[in-house]
Amino acid sequence: MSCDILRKMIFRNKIKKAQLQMGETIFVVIFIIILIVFGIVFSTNAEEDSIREKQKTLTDLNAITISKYASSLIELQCSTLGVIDKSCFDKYKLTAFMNLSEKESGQIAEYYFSQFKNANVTIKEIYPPTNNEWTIYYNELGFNKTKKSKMTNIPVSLLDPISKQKSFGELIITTFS
Amino acid sequence: MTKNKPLIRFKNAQTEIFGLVIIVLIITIAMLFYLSFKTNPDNPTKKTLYQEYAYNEIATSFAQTLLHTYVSDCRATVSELIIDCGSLRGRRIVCADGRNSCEALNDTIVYIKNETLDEWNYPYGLSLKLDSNRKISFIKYNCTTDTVGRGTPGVFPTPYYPDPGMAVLEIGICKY
Repeated sequence: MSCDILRKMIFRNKIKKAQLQMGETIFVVIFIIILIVFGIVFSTNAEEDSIREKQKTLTDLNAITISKYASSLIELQCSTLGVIDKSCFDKYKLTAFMNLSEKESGQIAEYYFSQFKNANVTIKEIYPPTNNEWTIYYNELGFNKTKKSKMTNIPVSLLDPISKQKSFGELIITTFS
Repeated sequence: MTKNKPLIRFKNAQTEIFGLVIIVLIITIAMLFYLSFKTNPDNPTKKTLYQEYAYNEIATSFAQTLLHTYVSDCRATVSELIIDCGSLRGRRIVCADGRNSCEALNDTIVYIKNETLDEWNYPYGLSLKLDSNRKISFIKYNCTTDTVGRGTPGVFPTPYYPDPGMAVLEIGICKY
């Protein structure tokens, strides 16, 4: 009788010990899983910063491409005996381009959309102080101007081909993203 | 012997907990190392790609455009006004409103600078050195030649030929 009781007691102790061991193992596994989850959350946040940085770089590249293209439009650049003058726009060509844009706005927009995409391109005369302004491309498509736009201002010469006099102008390119 | 059993069990438990604590510490230190390498603080003088392009373009285009600008009152370009103001032969240009070339030059540069560089709110340093004694300079937000983060300046010399010497127009833009 006493042997049976002793055997039962030993058996119960063994079960309790096993239960304790299992509990301990489960606890350790849960704890490690929690640590791994925390690690994944941290690394995801760090990756998010990296992705935002890459997106910013791409937006910058896009703005640079559009600025380069706008400042070298052959349709509007000054030229003397076939030689193109860099950073210079012909006032008469600008006026003619604007008149054409008003008549054929759809075709002009479609033609230049592949280069300019969502942007506004304007040229403004600074000196002498006139109110001359030419908008050569306009496509905002409902973008919020104050939030996601980048404005580039590039000084350009504006040539009057009749008098051969150059004035100080500004090429304003606003890109939306 | 039986008295030592609880003590041994107690020591086993301590050892197990100690091991667990070490594992946690190692994982925490590893994560801290990883995060510290991943999130580098921004170099304050590092320009973005866009700034690099924009500042170079503005610096060179501004000086070129300014020099070719025609001042109708004086019937001369800014470049010609610089030569007339700075060279030894003296000031021959007189503008319609009575100003001499140096006054017209200063007024024109100030006006254009106010309408462009100041409006765009860039920190810049703009200077026109006529000779060793005379210099017109404008600095905004402490952007001098010694400022860290200042881009390569657009430098445009204008020789006084056939007179000796030359004027130098220089513009440099700093990072925000």
